[in-house]
Amino acid sequence: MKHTARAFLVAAFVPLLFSGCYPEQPDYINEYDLVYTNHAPDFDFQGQGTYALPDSVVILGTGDPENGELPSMVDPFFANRILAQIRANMSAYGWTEVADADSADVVLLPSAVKTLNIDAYYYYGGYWGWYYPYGGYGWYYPGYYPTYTSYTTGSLIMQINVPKDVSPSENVPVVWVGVINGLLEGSDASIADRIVANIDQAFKQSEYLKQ
Amino acid sequence: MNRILLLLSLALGAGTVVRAQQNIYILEYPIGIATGDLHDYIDNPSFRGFNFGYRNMVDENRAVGLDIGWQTFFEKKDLATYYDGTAALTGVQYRYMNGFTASLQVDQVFADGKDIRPFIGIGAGTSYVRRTLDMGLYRLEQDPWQFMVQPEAGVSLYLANGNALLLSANYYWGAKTKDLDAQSWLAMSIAFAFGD
Repeated sequence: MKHTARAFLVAAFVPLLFSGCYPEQPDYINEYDLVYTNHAPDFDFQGQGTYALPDSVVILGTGDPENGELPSMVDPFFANRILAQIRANMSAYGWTEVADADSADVVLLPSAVKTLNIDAYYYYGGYWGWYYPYGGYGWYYPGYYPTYTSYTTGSLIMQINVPKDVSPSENVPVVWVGVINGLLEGSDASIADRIVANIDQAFKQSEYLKQ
Repeated sequence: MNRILLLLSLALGAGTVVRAQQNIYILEYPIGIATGDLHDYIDNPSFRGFNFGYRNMVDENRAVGLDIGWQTFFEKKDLATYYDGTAALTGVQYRYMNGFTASLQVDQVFADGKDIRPFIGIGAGTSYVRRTLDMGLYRLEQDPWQFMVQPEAGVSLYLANGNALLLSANYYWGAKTKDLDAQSWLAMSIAFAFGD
């Protein structure tokens, strides 16, 4: 009896040792969303005023830009919402969109990646050669590090580039990046809603973009 | 209260007297309260933990033995923006800390022969600290081993048949390592002790 009772007591406690190390996990998909932004500290955003924005969103990892193949584009259902929300935020911050990338102070390039490991952005330059032929074959990030990890699910990557005064052999400076990362789960409408809300957040935490 | 203690002692059916035992085994439930750097990281109290102790009475008033234990702390941080230089990161954070401790303890027990015996003790050993930060789809983890000291104080309430109830406070302090600042917490515990 004595040993039975004590064994029962021990048996009651032992499971505690192996359960509950991580007592709670996210309940909702949007709790996995991340919004990351970074910028060149010395760049004078207030000294600019116009921007250009392409009419599509590139899917990174598709096509072969080095051989002249165009990459695939994000479905217009999402792309149109992404571009509209970027426009709304840029306008709210006092920027004016121009159609010609050549005459714009900066160029804002949105791109997306899905279930692909990417360690850095440095080799993305070629994807936009068809849109504006500035710079060499990539970007550089003056005064800051643009990324901190890899992306394995769905990410929207927004970059503000300054192609003015860059020779064809040089990389284009990227003065702002905004990355939205999360799970691509749920209906298209709910995914689009999360993307839109997170684009707003990216601009909200980047008030230095205000004119 | 006395009735509860009596029922507990009868249910466990012990047959020998703790006061006279050489070997004492302790099953303990601690409630953890984070302090220092750990409190800065997680300020919720912890109700998840378990300790096991062993003591050998070297004489009527002194015991030496071993404590091993586990305590987990958790806190969810609602959506917020965190800044680091020119970077900003917005998301929901899930913060965890699991502390696994092992120490050799020396106790001084007072009031020999009484049913209620206060005690104090000190111990040293190691703690394996697993600090986890989940944000979005990413997890950052630090898991150093830290040199640990563990002072304790409490009171032993004799029940019957060699069993006792222990109420105690233990302070766990793990020394700073190059990966992580000193991790510490206070544990308020209730324990059941029995001899062989």
